[in-house]
Amino acid sequence: MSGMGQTLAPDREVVEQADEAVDPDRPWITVVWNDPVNLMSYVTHVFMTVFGYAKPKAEKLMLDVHQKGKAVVSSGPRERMEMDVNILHGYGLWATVQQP
Amino acid sequence: MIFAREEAEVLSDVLRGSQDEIGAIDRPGPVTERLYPAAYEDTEAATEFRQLTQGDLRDSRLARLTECADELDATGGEIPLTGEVADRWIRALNDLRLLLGTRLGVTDDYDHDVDARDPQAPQHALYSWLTAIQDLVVRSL
Repeated sequence: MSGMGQTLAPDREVVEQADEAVDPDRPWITVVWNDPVNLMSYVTHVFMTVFGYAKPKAEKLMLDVHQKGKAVVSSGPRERMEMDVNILHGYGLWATVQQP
Repeated sequence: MIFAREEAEVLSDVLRGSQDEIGAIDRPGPVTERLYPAAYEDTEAATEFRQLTQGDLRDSRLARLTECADELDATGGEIPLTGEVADRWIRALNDLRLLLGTRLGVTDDYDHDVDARDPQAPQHALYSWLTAIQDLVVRSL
């Protein structure tokens, strides 16, 4: 695979996500669930494309989904999580909006 | 991406022929569940989200399937995989695989080696073929 692709989600900015305690203003998360159809290569590509994650991070998240059954792929305001889930569903992933 | 003429014709048929099922958001069943999954555990929130998003999602899917089929028919099977074209193709292929895979009941340990006497052998073969194409395209990006 080549390097980071341009995000195709027009309204989504790539934001630096530092490790931080849960901020009461950003209490929602997007969870991606494992499924038997989606290819590992495809899921990794989707994470890179949609979130702008570098490949190692995208691969780690993909492996978490694959091995643990699910992974948290983004966090933030509820509206933003709904947007992320909508985009992920558009790529055929199974994603949900939750509170951690 | 280059398909032989016969392959292009088969793929075009599949892209067009799958639209009815992929677009059937009001038809309950495992395919619809998988293609238009719940965004919330809470049923009410999930229903509200579906009502807001499902129609557009369906329209986008069908548009991609049609565009890919048109492209195959117009080019005879030679598709230059530039950014947006490749994105459209991997998504269309994924939707086809989701449809077929759900119908076939594939599991995580799916074995692409299917007995030729299995009455569903053709669908399994199609699923395997689509999988190989998608993987090839994704890895080339």
